[in-house]
Amino acid sequence: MDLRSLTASSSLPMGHETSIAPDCILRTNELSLRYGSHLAVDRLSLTVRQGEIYGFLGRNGAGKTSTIRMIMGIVRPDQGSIDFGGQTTRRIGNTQKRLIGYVSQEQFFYPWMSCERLGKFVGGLFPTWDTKEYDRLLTVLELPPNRRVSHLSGGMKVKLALALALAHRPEILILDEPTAGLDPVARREFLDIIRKQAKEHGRTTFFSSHLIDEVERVADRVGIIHRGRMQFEGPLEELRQHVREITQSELLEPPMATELGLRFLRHGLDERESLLFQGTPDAWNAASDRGIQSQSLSLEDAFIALASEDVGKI
Amino acid sequence: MWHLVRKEFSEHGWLLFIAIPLSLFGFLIVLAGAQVNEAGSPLEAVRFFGLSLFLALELLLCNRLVVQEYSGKTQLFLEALPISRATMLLTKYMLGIVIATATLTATLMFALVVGMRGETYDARFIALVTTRLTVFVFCTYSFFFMMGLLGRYRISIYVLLALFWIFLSQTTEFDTGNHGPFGLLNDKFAYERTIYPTTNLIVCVAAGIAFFAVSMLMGITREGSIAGLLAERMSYREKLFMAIVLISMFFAGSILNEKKRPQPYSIENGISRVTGRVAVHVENASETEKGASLANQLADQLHDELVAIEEFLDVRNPSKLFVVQRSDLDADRFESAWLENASGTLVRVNYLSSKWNYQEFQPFIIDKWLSESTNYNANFEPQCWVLEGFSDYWPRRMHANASTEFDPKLQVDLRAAYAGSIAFEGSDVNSWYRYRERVGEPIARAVACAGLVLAEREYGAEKVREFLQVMLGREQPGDVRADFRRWLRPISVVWKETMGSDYEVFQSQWASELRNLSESFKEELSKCPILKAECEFSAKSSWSRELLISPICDPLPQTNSITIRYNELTAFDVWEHDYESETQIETYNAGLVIRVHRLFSRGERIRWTTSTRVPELGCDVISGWQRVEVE
Repeated sequence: MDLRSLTASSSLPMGHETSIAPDCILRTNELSLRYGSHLAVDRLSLTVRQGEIYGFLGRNGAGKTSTIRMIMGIVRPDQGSIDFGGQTTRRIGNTQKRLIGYVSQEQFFYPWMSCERLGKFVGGLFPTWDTKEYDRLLTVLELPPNRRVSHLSGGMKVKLALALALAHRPEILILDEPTAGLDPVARREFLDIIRKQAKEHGRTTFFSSHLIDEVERVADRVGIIHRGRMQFEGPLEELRQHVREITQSELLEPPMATELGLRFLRHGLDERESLLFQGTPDAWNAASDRGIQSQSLSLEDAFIALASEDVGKI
Repeated sequence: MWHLVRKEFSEHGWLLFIAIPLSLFGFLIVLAGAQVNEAGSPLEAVRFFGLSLFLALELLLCNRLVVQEYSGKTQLFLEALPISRATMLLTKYMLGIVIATATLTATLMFALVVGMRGETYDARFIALVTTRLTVFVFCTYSFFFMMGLLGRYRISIYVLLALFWIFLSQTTEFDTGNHGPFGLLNDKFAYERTIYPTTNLIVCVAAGIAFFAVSMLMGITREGSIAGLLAERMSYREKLFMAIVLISMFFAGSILNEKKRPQPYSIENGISRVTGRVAVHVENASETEKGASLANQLADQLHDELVAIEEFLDVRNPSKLFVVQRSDLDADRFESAWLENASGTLVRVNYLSSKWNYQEFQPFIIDKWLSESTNYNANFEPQCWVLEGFSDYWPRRMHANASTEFDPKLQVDLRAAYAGSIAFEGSDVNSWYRYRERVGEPIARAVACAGLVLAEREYGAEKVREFLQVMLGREQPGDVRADFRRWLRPISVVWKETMGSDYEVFQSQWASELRNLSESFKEELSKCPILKAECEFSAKSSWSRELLISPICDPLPQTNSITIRYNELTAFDVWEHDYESETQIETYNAGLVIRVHRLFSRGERIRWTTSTRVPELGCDVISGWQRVEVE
């Protein structure tokens, strides 16, 4: 069966919204970033809504950190723009940065500073810095104020980064794989804090991860990136509806898949004799009407289907 | 920016708190120590500080401010904060340069305050040294800042640059001590009062801008990734590669170590005498047999003289001597020429004159030949008296059977006694050129010679020879190493090492000896006049002035004549040869007021003295050179 034609379906990821949602707080428009000849991010668009927890999923090297560094204004996109803080710009400036709380993948704090001293230094750069809140966060996160950064464990450093990111009461919290390197307990604690922050303070949170269970635990919506391109953006349940498995591949002729609006993703997982497709619920209903039976996938399988190396290839 | 400044102070303040006072303390030691007390100006201490401790301080500053930030990757933390990379880099740059400038300014101000007790500093001079120092700081700090951003390669590059510098210094004619930032703090720094070293200033400003631009490029372009990547640790391969490069450079340097000296000067129709490294060439300008005979005789005399001195002082790089005949010169006038693109000592004399006297020429040629052979190290204060003393000491030693007893028949001893009768303090030795302007070249030379004779009597001939070898002989580098050698081993240290006695104590002995000498030779000296003179200006128009000089000579000059010597001071007024001055001879009488045959303009600076020939001394005595500005 020639499935090559199935890959010619819409390049826009399913669930992607083309118009700005009224409650949108952050939006990237066709962001691209190239490192030499390597295209790290390819015309990536995403939308983060007010108050939601947005899980940015992708494999290692998919372009998550590059995207976040562009959103943070650390690197300048080669093309595209960012809507944030009421402005559309290629690269966000210091004024907009002050509205963001950021936790990077690795923490490079000054080792000679204590938690308290670090708070004073960072606080001086944010007009909205709340020292009481920072002290409270240190207490809640069980961080000794007078302990030097060099004497903190990896988990404690991530917590410290979170305290620093929250204490100036940002409009959005951006976390770049914050739990990488943490043990399961610390990871769970960290995610609980994130969830609590969102629940109690309505804090918009954008966090990247390559762990589907962690995203599943806290995210309202997800964006899945692969090879720098957005594969899917929407609620988690929608992901399950969009990515399904067809075992009766002989029934699905190539013209029919295109006609139905289904996009071939890959061959079945775990060496199953099946094909994985991506499509809207309407497309799947139409397929069902033609006698093609499909099965839903676990979130992990759906993620793997979208984030596999051979997406769109036979 | 202020938060960053505060952060930098919190991070590095303790070190600066130790390093800056320590370096300033080092400066004070240099200033207060024997080295600077003997030097011509306290600004020499600023120069020494600028070339040594200050550069170390700048290196430390940049290492702390830049290297530590990037090697610890903490710049990635700053990048995520609302601070631009340019702000971060500029803060570090500005903070460091302000600290460096403030440190050097403090030393300059202190040196100026100290120096004002004995020197006059005008606004132009202060502006000149300030400009030199400011550009020096800008250039060197920008360089170290850029090097800091080169991360893991910086040490290798430092080593390569040092090797390259040694290579330039050793194997080419390039004068490393007078170019770039080193040229701004060269040996003229403390003395040059008017001329801005424009070329060096432009080169250093341009280099500073280039270093700064490269720093900003590395820190900002490609999202600061260049500096970040360079700050990564060296891989094993890189270490191996750098080691191979450095070792190769070292061996290449060793092979090319043979210094390429400029081609020796050559004269046509010359009579040559060469023994070992000593070479004498005398121009045979006469076609007569007598002329050729005189040229041969002079060549033999000079050759024997220089071979003996070479052996006595252990001169390792004796300069080749070239003597050119000039019939238009008086027999007692000798000129030395500056060779721009050739090596050697070139002098012009009139040895064919019937009044030619080799003994008069002898001190002159010894002085010039040794100046050249020591790469002019012997001409620096405070040790320059040794060279001048040796030029009289050597003939006296050779022709008076090495007697250490002062003899009134010897004119050189009588001159020293004359100096003792007018004024000589031990401290005059440390500001020799000033002293020489007070008493004239022949008298000053005799005083220095008396010092060496006294030392020989007190400590023995061998110790004096050892001392002379260190000061005038052996290997004498011609670059910055010579400066460091003088700083590290000033004459007081060499004296202590070779003579085993305190230099200051000897200076007092010396002054006392000359006073005693003047008492012993009282009768002979009674015929030698002491000359004084004053000057005033008389307005001839709103701008032109007439110079009126009133000499007082007691007793009356035996020649009955008095000579006015004067010359307009050029911009670079450190040194003027007496023979380059204009002369005006007048008949002396009491109450004489001499009108100088030239009008001067207001604002012009001149140098003048009066002199009269004293046959007993075999030389002129002077009233002392004075520098005045025409008002």
